[in-house]
Amino acid sequence: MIRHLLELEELGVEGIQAILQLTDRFVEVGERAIPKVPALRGKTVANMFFEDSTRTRLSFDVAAKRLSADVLTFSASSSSLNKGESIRDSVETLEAMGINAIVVRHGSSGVPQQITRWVNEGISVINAGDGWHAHPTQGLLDAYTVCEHFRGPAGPAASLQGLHVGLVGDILHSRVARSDIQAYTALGATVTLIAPATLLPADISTWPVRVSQDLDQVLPTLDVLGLLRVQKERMVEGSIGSIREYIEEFSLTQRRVKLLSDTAVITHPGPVVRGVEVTGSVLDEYPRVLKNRQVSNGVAVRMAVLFLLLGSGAELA
Amino acid sequence: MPNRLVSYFFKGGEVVDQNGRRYENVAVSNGMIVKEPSDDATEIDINGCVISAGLVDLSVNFGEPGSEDVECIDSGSRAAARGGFTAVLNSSDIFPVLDSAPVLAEAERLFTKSVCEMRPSATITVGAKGLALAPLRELSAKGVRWFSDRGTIENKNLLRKAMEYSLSGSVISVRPQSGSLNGNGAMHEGKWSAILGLPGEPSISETSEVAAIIDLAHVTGARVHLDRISTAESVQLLREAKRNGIEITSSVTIQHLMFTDSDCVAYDPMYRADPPYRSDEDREALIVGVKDRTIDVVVSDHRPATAEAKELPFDQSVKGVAGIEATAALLMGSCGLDLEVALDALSWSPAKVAGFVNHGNLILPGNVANLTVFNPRISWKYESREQISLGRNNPYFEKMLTGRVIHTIYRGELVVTDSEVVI
Repeated sequence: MIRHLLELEELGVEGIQAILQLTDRFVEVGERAIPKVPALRGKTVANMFFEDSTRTRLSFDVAAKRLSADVLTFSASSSSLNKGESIRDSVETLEAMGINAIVVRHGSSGVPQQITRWVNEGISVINAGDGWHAHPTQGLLDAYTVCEHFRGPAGPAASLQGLHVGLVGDILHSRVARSDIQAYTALGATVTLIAPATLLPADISTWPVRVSQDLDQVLPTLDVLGLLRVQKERMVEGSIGSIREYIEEFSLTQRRVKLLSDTAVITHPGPVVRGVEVTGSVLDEYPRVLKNRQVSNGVAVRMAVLFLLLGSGAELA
Repeated sequence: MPNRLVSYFFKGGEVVDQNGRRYENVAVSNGMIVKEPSDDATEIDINGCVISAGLVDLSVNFGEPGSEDVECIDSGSRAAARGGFTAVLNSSDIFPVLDSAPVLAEAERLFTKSVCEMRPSATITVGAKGLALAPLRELSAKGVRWFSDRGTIENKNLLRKAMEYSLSGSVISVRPQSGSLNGNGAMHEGKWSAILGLPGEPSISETSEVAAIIDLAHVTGARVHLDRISTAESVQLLREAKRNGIEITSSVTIQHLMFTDSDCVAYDPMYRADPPYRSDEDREALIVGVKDRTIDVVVSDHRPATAEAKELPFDQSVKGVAGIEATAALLMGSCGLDLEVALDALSWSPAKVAGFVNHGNLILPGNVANLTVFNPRISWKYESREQISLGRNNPYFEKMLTGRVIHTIYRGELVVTDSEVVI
């Protein structure tokens, strides 16, 4: 029984499979006329977002509410953090209000793990994205969505064995990439990273991945193309020459999309910067873009995580 | 610092100094080591212990003036004494930074509160900003021997001028770190920074500077010290430089002999350091560097901080450790070094490198009695509540350590006895 969700490594294959199996149930709940269950009635979930986020915060918000939990939202910009309050004091304040879980997003890697050292035993910490480190629920929902597309509902032993996933873009600064790699490879997929060396960490010798700098060559071999955002400030720091040059080599253009096999799918964690990592029309016209399905499944995955961590003993109606 | 007329007779211990090891009793009277104990000498049984020259720390910051909330000279120097140190060199990055004669005068006035010998270091450049030379010669004439900006000096021409301009007898000490190659690192760049998603400071940030500074030392003939090296490549460059007859010294912190980048795995800011803890290979090379005496000096790098400064996100937390009370135990008890090597790195060499003439000497009648008595076998728990230093940034809290300083004698007087400060 796990208490916190900080990253996926600690879950192991069976832990990931257990969450995906539970996700099947919540996908079904989401399709009901009244998509709400009383599983977490009386529990309180605090969303602590120290960094701007709309989609992840809303997704956790919806997930908690569909489980009938109460939700507190602590946003850094309107809180006393601006007046110099420490994270620890903020956490202890929320704790004193009687919460059961803290969902944390922070711009610095490791903050959710630091928070676990400050909270009582009754409180679970869920990482909603920390720095460049991890975004475990994104990794889970990406794996679930791909699994669902190719194999149907996850069931007790979800597997992505035999699938080839390519992740393109800014891997170095991407928590999504790190969690995707963990989720995909845990379930048996092969992962290839495609990026210029400046957008990869200096030493990934321990990562279970292949690396390529030639997107055209990799595309025909892929079952899943995972696009990642590229931020313009990377040019300023000299990680890429220009956006134009990046697009030339690494963007999914109309020409490149034709290199994909006729069963391959495209994923994107959002928000999309149209015209940079992908040509806008590709996203609109390609028949197997899973972007919106990822968002729907994101709610179900987060329900599964909250239920697993907080719902011990509760019946899932 | 009072110098009362007291006499002691340390019996049954093993003397270790530059002349080797021998079982010999040591008599102290009126501040000096003497041949025969006086009739009124207090006998102290040090069976099973080693008696050596007092330890010398070339990198501490005792807070005053400017950071009295994290440490004071009283607390810092008592902590040092408890750690076996009889002399320390205080960092120039006090507030205001020590870059002028008036600040020097104020620092020296404050230093009189110390229970061990305390010397100032001054900055190389005005305000440690790396733009214009500080009055090195004036400060030198007033007794400052050690000049350091604590950090790096990007402008190598200015650094060369400092080496040429400083008076002989001065040491120009530089922490080798490139301002442009450091990657704004929160930790060492390697497999762990990739996994943890933290910006990494690459080894070349240090080694490129080490190479440049060795060349400058060679060209100028100045006394140059490389402060707190951390990489295997730096050790190798220094080894070659020494082989080529270049006079350059260096230090490493005790922490860099204990920890590696893998210790950052739980994002505990206790393990954020400057320079960052590096790979296993680097740590091993540093220990070899101390063993073969390529690295002259081991420092505590005592940098006290508040608890809250170590509760910030890892990449924003303050760097460093306030561990001066554990340094000797760690080096002599946990690093697998011969006692002579450890004492050379903690006493004999630093005293020589920084010109502490009454420290690090032979245990001989006629020498000033600055001594440390160390029990190399005793096991003890480092209790946070018993620490003297006010710094809360200490990774050794509640850990079991092997070897402990039992007595510290400063100018013939017992400052620490049975591991407790008694003055």
